[in-house]
This record gives sequence, structure tokens and C-alpha cells, in this order.
Amino acid sequence: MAEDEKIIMRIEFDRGAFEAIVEEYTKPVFNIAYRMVNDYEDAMDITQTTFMKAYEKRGSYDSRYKVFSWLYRIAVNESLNHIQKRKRESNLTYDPADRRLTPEQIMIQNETAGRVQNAIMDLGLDHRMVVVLKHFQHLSYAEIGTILDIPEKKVKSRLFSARHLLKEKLSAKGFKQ
Amino acid sequence: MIDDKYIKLINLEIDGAISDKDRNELKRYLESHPDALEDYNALRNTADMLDGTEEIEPPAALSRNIIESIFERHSEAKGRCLSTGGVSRRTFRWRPGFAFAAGIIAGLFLFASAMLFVMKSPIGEGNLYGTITGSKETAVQRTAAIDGPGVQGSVSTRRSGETIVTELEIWSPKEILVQFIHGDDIYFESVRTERPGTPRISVFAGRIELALTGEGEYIIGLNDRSGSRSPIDLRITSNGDVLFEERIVQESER
Repeated sequence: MAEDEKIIMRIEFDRGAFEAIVEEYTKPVFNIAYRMVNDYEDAMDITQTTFMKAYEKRGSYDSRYKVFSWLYRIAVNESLNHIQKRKRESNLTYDPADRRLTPEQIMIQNETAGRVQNAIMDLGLDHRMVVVLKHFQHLSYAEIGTILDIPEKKVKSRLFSARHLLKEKLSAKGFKQ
Repeated sequence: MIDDKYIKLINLEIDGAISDKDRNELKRYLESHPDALEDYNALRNTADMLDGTEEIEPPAALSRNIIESIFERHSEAKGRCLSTGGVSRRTFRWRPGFAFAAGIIAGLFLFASAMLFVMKSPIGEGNLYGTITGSKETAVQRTAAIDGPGVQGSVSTRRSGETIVTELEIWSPKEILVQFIHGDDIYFESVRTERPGTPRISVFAGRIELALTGEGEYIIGLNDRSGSRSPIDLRITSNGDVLFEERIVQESER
């Protein structure tokens, strides 16, 4: 039995095992959500929903996944659901990049980070997902493929074209390369 | 115009996923193609900018809030339905009355016999195989080897709050009998294993038995819902040979 599978099995009896997972992965899950939706409060909600779903679905945990890739997969899906829901709710074209930053966000984002984040929000969702997982979570092509359930080859092609798009967008915004 | 092949190599190089051979080839190409070198530098800067972006700090209390809300919600759900997976206690509660009464009598008899046996045979090195020693009460997260005739493996126990978890790893196809002898306040929760099929489980007054067959890993959960904190004697045998004995006590009593 893989170590990650054991961890998930322990959750059944041991509250501490799940608490340890939440403590360890809150920050990366929150960051994935934040990079996907560009909203601090929404990222908190998505993080909470991710762990809620992980706890409820622990019985159907697939041992092919590592704990982190299982969680990140849920987080990415929840982020996508959230974006879709926002689009439906607003009944307008939802563009998270247009959302106003809270004072807290302004404080935590310096100019460069803010521009980078805005450029990421200009990407389509397929491109955004691979960039977030590659450059903010530093995952391998194979790990990203597992999380997104796409072949490694597709991960590379999406990532390569996403980076070229980002380069163009950052140049267009006057960012010196 | 950069050849597609070199666009791919540039990206692989940026990700640190390029072979030495390809890196040398790319280097030669960039040296002879200034436009490609410019593109490479711009892409490299973009990637460095992404990699160098600091992580956003979530609120300090987020983890704690998530944990509390999940377990609050879970305990509400549990209150509505006692069954939590694995083998339900309800299975044992709703047997016909005569079977229950017979079970109680048999259980009391077996419990008394077991207690008598335990009292007459204190746990010691003389009647144990392997590395388990001493009659001193042991506490949480202890891992020990099992090494008996034709049976090897390991066992670890953990007791904290209401939860008592025993993890077993057995490296033998022989049948293993795992007994938990306790006061009347411990409940069997469930057993998890990657092996197909369900282990044979018997619940008596004061005693829970699991017959495990075959190599594999097992995680057994018991619950002290009443908070009695009474000690539990764990005994693992195979064909009558005692492989392991341990008294599991509360963490705070360590």
C-alpha cells in the first residue's frame, strides 16, 4: 500500500491525520485558487470547499494519485466551477482580471507581481491552469498531466504556447523583458 | 522565424527538462540566430518572473477554520446517522434478542476467562516472540516488529482522545487473530485494507476479534465514545502462538 493511500485511510479514524493534511496544503491550495480566480476572498472559499470535498470523498480516493495531486485536482476543478458560476451569476462576460483589488491584495502584490497576475488572468483557462501548476507550484509535466488528466505532450504544448502568450502580453503592457 | 524544433528546445531548456545533447544543439543554434536568442532571453525572463513571484499568504486562521467547519459539519451528519462506513455498530445492535442474550453470556464467560488468563500470565519476554518486551503499559504511536513462527510483520498503535488506531502489516499468508480486550466502553469502528474481501470480525462484550488472512496492511479503528479511557489489551496470535501483546493506554497517561 502506498504511503499516500495509508494517509487517506488513517483519516477514517484519526482526525489528526486530516488536520495535518489541511495544515500542510492550505497555502498551496489557496495559491492555486488565487492564481486562477484573482480574488482573495473567493480563493479562501475555494480552499475551504476543496478540503470539504476531499474529506467527503476520502472513501473514493484513487491510489494512483499522490495526496497533493488529488487535492490540487479538486482545487483546480473548484476554481473552474467558481469561474463558471460567477459567469452565470453576473450574466455578463466575467473577467476576473477586471475585479478590483482589495487593499489587502494591493499590499501583498508589488507592481511586478500585480502585472504578472493580470497577464495570467488574460490567458484562457487551459493555459492558465498549466502556468499556475508549473510556475507557482513547480510541478513536473507528468504531475500536471495527472492533475489535469491530459497527456504530458499536451501539458508541454499548452505550457509552451502559454508562455509565449504571456511574453507577448507583458510586452504589450509595457513591461520590459 | 524560429524553427518549431528550436521553440520546443528553448522551452525544455527553460523548464530544465532538456538533455545535454539537445542543450548543446540549442546553444549552437542560438549563437548563429540572434533573433532566436532574443526570443529565448525574453521567454527566460518571463519564466523567471513567474517563478520569482511570491506566494500569497492566506489568513493565518484559515486552516483552523477549515478544520473546525469540516468536523462540525461531519459530527452533525454523524449524529443523524451513526453508521460511518466499514462495519456498522448497528449490525450488532439489532440481532434477535435471544442471540444477543446468548452473546452477552458467552462474552462475559470469555471475558472472565481472558482476564483470568491475563492475570495469571503477565506480559513478559518469556512468552513473547520478537521484540516486544515488558509488562509496562505502553502508550501512543508505538511501532514494533512481529516475528513469530512463519509470521513476520509490524504493528503500531495510537490512542488519542476517543480514537484508537492499530496499523498492522503482515508478511505471511497465515491467519492472524487480533484481539482487543477491554472494559465495556470500546466500540469497533471499522477495518480498512487494500485486500479484497472483509476480515472476519466478532464483537463480544469486552472483546473484539478480527481474523485476518493473508499478507497485507490493515488499519483497525476503535472508538472510546464514552471517554472511559480504560486500558485495552491488544493481543495478536497465530495458531495459538502469541506474537504480540500490548496494553494500549491514553496518551496523557504515558
